[in-house]
Amino acid sequence: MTIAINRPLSEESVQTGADTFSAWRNVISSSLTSLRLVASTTEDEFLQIGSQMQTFYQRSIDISRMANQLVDVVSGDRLQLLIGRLQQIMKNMESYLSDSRSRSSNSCTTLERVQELLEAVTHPLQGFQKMNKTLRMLSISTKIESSRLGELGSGFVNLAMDVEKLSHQVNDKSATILTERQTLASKIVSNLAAVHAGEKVQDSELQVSLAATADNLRELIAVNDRCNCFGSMASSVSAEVIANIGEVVASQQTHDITRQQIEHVIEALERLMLDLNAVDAEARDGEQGKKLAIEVGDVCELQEAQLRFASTELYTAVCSIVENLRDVANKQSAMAQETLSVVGMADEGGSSFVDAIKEGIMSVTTVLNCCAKTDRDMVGTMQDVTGTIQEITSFVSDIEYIGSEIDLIALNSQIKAAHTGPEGAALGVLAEAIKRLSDEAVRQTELVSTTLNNIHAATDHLSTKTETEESDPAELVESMESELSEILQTLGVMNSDLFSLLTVLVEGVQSLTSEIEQATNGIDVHERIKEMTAGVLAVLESIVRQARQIEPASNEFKQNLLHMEQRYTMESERHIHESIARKRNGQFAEIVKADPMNIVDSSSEFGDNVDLF
Amino acid sequence: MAKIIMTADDSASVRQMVAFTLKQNGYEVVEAVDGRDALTKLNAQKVDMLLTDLNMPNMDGIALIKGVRAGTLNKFIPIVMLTTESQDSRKSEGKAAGATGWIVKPFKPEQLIGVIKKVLG
Repeated sequence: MTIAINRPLSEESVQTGADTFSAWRNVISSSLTSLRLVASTTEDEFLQIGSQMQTFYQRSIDISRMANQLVDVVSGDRLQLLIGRLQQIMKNMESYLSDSRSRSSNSCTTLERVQELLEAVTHPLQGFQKMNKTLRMLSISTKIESSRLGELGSGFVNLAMDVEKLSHQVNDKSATILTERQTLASKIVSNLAAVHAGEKVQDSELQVSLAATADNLRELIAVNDRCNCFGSMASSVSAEVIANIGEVVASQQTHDITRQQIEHVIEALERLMLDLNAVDAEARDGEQGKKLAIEVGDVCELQEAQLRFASTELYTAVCSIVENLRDVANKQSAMAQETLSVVGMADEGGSSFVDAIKEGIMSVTTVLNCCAKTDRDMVGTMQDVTGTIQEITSFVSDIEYIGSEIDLIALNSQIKAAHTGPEGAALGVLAEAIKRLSDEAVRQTELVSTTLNNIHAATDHLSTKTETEESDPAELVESMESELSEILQTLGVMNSDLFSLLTVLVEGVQSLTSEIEQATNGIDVHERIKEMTAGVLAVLESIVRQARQIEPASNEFKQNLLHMEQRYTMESERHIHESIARKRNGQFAEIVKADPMNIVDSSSEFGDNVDLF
Repeated sequence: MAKIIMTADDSASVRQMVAFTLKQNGYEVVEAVDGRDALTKLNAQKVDMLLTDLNMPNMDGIALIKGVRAGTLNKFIPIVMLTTESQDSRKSEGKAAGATGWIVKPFKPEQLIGVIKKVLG
């Protein structure tokens, strides 16, 4: 569209009537060309604005839908399930922590008791070693005495050798028992140290894990709460966007309204041109010229007002279209930002709350594994204690058996000594000493056995308890690990969904914002129309001034322009006409404001501009 | 099934705007560029409602209403005028011709949809 700037008439041109009328014809003709151009060529631009607006609206709806999808990812059943699972894990962890403390305390008490009992068997075991020395000495004495007796003592040598052999066995067994005892005692000491150290670690780490799980739970609940609120926020934004688009749609009608108003101005000016052409050159200086000047002044003043109103109305409407479209972009941008916050994401490049929860859950899993290992170690230690005690018991039984063997040997020795007569009296004394030792051995083994039975009782109690309880903590840990693994899997899917949707959302918003900015920056139809009509308005103002110089305005305005008033179709046109008519009659002119969307809501159901018959 | 609404207006941008508003609200739209085009189409196709401008080339809105009421296929459909005309005399003329309602431009989309819902039941 080319812009034809109409140049206002210079005041010097108001010299003669004929020249003035001729000059008016020329400038009005030129103005009519401009106005016809304005009326006929803006349709395409409004169509383009309408088409862009529809695209933006559709994309805005898509963005809102995407924002809702994004929120759906971290809300609803899936989130409720996660919250429920974390709550269960919290309970399980607390229960596990309490059981773990109790188990740990029992284990330590038992191990300390075992430690004491093991200490108690040291003395009897050392007694076996002393007994061994005595038996060996008795054996040597028996050999000496039997060689002194010669033929009579020959049977005692074999007995002495048997005693010596058995005393070696007692020595070996008791040494083995002492070594086993020592090994077990060391193991218990180190296990106790490990249990105490583990207790501290478990306590602190489980507390940390509990706190982390509680934090995760709180975050999930907060996300859930935010998501619940998001629905109303998104609906509100959607309603606002629909209102913006409604404003745009309504403002678009202004093009049609303005076109009609300008067409009416054109019609009025065309009629004026006919009147100007109809008056002879000679008649222009006379009374007819004065009347014509009044008509020209009235028509131009009125059309200047109508055109100014139409131009302002269109300008305001296009500004409203631009503002509303930009508002749509801003709202979508703000909603996208809010969506990030609702779903717990700092920004499209940052991490989500899901990452923080995953991290917390990983640490919980690590601590649970650590606890499970401590439990397994404790069970292992108890099994070691039981095994070692069983071995010691077996050795003690061997010693007991050896003791009974020695007892038999001693009895045989006594019988043989009695057969030998007075010369075998010394051997009888030796046999009696051996007998006493064998009795002592039996007594010592009984002592050791009693202590070992006590250890058995303690460890049996513990191992029985551990066996029954052992399955529970293990199952609990396993169940918690399984739950955590499933939660991690769900969180992984959630995170992946979040990021893929977020990428599309952010790209959608960025591209919409940028395209709206580009489109609104490219809308200049109102500026061009303003510029074009400004030229015509200046011409009309100039004509009015000149016409009033030739002949002042009369108060017959309304009557003179009655034909024009009857042709109006719009309320605003009638208001403007009436306003100027009042001014001509010395009354205050009513100011008609340009407001294309001044649709007054009234008591009627749909507004004052709607009638249903 | 979506209701079919015809919009008759010589302004392409107004037809575009009305069509957009109607489609957004689930209606099917048939467009006509003036009264004559509208009447030709209405004699060939059943619609549920007509929205027409008043001042159009070839055939104006009042003549269109009379033509529709004189026809058979869409004789009884609701017809609402969408116009810049606000004079009571013109409204009376429209009512006498058989218009169901009269909406003065500019109107808001929700006003148009409200009226359509009301007259279509």
